[in-house]
Amino acid sequence: MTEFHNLEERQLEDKLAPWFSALKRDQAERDPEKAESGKIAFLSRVAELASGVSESKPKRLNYWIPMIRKEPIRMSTIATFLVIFVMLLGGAGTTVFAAQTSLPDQPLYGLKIASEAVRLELTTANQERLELTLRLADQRVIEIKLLIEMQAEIPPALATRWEAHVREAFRLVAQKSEQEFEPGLLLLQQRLRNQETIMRQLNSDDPTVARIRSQIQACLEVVQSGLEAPVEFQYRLRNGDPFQWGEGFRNQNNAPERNADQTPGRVDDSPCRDCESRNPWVTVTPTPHSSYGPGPGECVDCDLKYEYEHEYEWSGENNPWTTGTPTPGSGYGPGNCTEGCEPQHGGTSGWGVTKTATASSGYSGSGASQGPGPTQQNNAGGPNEGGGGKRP
Amino acid sequence: MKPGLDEETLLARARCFDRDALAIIYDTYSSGVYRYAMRQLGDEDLAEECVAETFNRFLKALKSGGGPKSHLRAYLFRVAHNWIADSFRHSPPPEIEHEEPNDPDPDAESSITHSDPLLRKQIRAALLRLTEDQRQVILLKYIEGWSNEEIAQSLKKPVGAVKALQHRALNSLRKLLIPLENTG
Repeated sequence: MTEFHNLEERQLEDKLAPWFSALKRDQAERDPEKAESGKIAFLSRVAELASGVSESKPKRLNYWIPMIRKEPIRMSTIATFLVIFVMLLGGAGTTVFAAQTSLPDQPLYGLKIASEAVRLELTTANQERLELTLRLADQRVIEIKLLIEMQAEIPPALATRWEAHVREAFRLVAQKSEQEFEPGLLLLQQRLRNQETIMRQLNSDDPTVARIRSQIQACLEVVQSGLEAPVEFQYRLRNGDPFQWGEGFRNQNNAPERNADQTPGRVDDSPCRDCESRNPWVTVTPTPHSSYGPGPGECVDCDLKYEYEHEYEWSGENNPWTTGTPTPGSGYGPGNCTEGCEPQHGGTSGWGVTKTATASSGYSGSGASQGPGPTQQNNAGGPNEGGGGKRP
Repeated sequence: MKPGLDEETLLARARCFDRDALAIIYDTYSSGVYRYAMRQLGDEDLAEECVAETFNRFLKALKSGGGPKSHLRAYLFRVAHNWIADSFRHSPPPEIEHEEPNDPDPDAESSITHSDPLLRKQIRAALLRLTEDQRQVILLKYIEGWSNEEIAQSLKKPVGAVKALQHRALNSLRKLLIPLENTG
């Protein structure tokens, strides 16, 4: 078959040879001038294109691929995430650190306050939290000092923040145990005195400064009163806010400044100077179902009971604690005494004769009011005035 | 081509737009491309234009990172062939001329009594009726004298495909040209 094809092809070639030969003989020589001008044009085009020779397009577009794939992709991914993580943490940490020296009129101050709030939230131990809170209060006072030195405006929010720190410090001190309460108060007193010294040295009549000055003085007086009667004060502190005690404490701007040589403590302008009238036991509307107040129903012989209590002062057989049927094993009641059953300490009340009264607690029986608490006047209200429902 | 300069070295230098290397390439192949174009086109200006455009396309290919890695001659002739095909694509192929029966020479020995110019016109017209690949195979094989392997490089086809193209092209030409011989 192939031989047949070759034979047929040779016959065809032979038949077409005259046309092929005629075309082959067309050896028209190229015009030398045109050939030369064509070469010059070609070389000029070469020079034109050679000026901007660069890598080919695929190479230019893909040159970065080997750079990425030099390392295994898994390592590159881990390294990338690591770098991003470190940059985020490092950047945030640096920013927060830089914010610690910022002042209220600077952009990073919000970050500073936020970081302080976080630190406070993360500190749960009472003593550490108290120290941190007092440091933050110190910080607010220092910020006020710096703003005054820079002759900048003092935002009122600064005083509010300082007040919040001190209120928190009071709350933390109130939560301490009986043994730790007094040291906590002393720590609070020392820090408040330091703040008072700083504030006194400031030459400013800014209302915010005046407000903080008066509040520091009032707080110092409250603390001093607490040191004088710690047990009572702790109880009262646990159930109230010292910043809400008394008009003198609330109207800080009007409060007179204490002289430098004046002994800190209870003075005439003390927020607690008329504590009897502001005793929450008698002045505050009792909480429903708290066992304080008149109670439900109509009291038939309340006046009689009031007179009884007022006249006989829980003495003898009129004492409701001893006249009723005592609970067996409760320690109340006549007991097994058959001879010599006179009270040994001279008192007539089951409260007053068994223990030595705490100083200024109002239980001493002297009749004089030495501080807040259930005194004779407090009891005078009787059940109808909310004071006779329950004895401490 | 200058002795001592193989094609690969020349092409490597050409990719860096070495002026001397490109001048050597032009001197070596421009005449052949011109002849190839001239035989098909029959016009000097068109043939020059074909040469200029062929080498311009070559430079553009080098600039874009392409161009031949070897077989430079086959590459240049393929470019020239494509340019010629494009120039004819938009115009219908001319009629194949018949010889006018005037005073035939009784002493002529050859069976072909037609003049060379007429034969050239006839073969050119007949070639334009072939497919592009068939035309290129005929021109490179019977006019330029290339081997089947070289033609295969130029067409980027296997040698067997080149032979098949050649066979079909010869049959087509026979059908177009042999009747002319009988009429003559």
